[in-house]
Amino acid sequence: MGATADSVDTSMRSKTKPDPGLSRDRVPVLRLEEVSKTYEGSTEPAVRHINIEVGEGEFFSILGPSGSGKTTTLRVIGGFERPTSGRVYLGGADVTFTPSNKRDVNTVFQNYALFPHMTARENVSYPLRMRRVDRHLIGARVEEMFAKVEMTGYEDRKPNQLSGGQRQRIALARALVVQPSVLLLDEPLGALDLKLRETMLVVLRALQRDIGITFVYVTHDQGEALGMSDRIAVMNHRGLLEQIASPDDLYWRPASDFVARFIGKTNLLDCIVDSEGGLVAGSLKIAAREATDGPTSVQLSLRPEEISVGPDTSRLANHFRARVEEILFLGHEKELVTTVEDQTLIVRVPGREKIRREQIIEIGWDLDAAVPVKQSVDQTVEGAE
Amino acid sequence: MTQTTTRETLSVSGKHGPPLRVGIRALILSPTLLWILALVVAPNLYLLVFSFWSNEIGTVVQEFTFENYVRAFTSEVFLTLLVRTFLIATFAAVMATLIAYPGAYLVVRKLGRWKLAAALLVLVPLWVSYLMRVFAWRIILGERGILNGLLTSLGILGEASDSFLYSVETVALTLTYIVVPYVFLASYSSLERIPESLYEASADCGGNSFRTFVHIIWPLSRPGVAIGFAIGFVIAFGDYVTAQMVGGLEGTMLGTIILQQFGTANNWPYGAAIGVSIMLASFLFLAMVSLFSRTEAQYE
Repeated sequence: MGATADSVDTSMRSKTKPDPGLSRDRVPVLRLEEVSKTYEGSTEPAVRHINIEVGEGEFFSILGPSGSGKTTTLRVIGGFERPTSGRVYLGGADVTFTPSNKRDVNTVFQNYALFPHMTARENVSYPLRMRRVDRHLIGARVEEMFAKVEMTGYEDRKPNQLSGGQRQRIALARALVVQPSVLLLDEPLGALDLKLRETMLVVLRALQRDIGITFVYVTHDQGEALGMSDRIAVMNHRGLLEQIASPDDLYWRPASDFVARFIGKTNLLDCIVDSEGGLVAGSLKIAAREATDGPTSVQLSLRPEEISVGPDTSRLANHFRARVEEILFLGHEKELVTTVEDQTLIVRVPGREKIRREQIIEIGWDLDAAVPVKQSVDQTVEGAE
Repeated sequence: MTQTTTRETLSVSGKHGPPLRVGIRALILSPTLLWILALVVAPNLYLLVFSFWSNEIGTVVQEFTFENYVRAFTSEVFLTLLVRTFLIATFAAVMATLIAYPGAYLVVRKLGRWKLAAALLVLVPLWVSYLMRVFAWRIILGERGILNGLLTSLGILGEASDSFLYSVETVALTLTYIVVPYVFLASYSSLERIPESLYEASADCGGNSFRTFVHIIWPLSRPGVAIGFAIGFVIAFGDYVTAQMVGGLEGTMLGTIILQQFGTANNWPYGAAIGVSIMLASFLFLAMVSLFSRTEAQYE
């Protein structure tokens, strides 16, 4: 047993790096300013005070559980919904009240929304025809798009003669053919099976790099978001933004307990500051690099892979004996549910490790491993209102 | 429908195999088949056969002849009435479509959750007896009718006019009114089926609402409208009650002649020949309509 994972993890994360926000060399091509939306007949806003800046050529994801208002946010950007308050800027111009057919954004809809009576070619030509592009130019441009999404040869099929993945590609081609400044994607992979989804992930990412168009990608799947995005905005159940950060920072430096829980798995330790300024979670004394600048309690997020297992954990700042309660075999690794005193900790070990239930193991983690997280803005707002 | 039924049957009694499946399928279909055979196929075949028999002073002689058709297509009365009936029916169906389709579009697109209520309101007249609906127009257009009353009291007309009733125009107007709900129903259901996302996708592609209508909504709803148009046309084409009640002599339609032949004139074979001619004419017309209104599309 060893702490093999630890060294890898340390190199991966960048805890000292500040939240990157929008890099200075990137022009905000899209900006949402204090956008709120309450649907007619509803008292609860679907989204509240959304502030987002997306840079040119960025792959930006909006991640959240269902009902978090991420699709609403996308629809506000696309011009399908008018925000109740706030402003939407595209390339610096206020487009809050510009109808969708006059916005320089295109959408890949959740169900693709291909025109069923048109062939794939007619579907892809449609935006060009609406823009009154010269007929001779349309043919070449459409052909090029079919090549880009690897659908050459399927031009004369109707949507119902195409598979889900193929429809997806046609929808992409239709949305990209006029080279919008921003492409909106509303859970585009939701209807595809796992294998196809993985293929499309690669296609999407490659396509985005290739054409350099800004993507705003809505998903509830953290794997998709973490894998593809330059930056991710996490929204919570009440339509509030929890954090905007790079996938790296989101994972290793979650701003709130909500983010920590939503992105990957984590152990949340509710600690109180004892009389000597140390941290105590239940009956566990924890060593962490937490500036105890005032608060009497703090929540720490400790990723399972941050916890090392084995005798040599005794050199680490935190070192405990844990009892294995439950083992979940995941193939490449095993997930252990362990109890340490009165705390439950999830620990991960390589899949080959021989561990039995009820075994007592030694675990430990570094001073930096557990990061403090704030309470979700959700609760904060609830308190304030 | 039949397929799922078959599969269910299979799972319940799989060991019996195909014979039972066929038997049950036939059993399930039998009411429909019976209906079609007894009430559609048989009478029409009978009508067809009758139209080739001859008539001798009110008695049907079972002797093959083209005489009835020759008589019909050389008869000026028949030809005049055929053209008139065709024109009236076409006019009524076209007018009803022009009224009902935009109406259905507005209801589906603009009324939101009230659309079902609005659609029901349009269909309310269908609950009233057909005769009452036609009669209503006599009350409106008659010499002592509402229209005359209004116009004379406003001083637009010096005295009540009898020219509103008993004319081709009256028949066309009344038939338009009669068939509007049917065209509306067909238009409504075809428009209702078009998912909201297609409107949005079209706008997203840069199409304004007019071009969205022309390129997306019209092609997708056209087959439904054609069905509504066809129903309206057939109803108007075969109608004789309206012609009799508000048409007068000038507004006589083909149906009236058929009624006469089967009634007072007592010449069934000739009546049958006219009936068959009407059916063929409307069938040809509707075949053309459906040919030009076809859109091949399947929603995802």
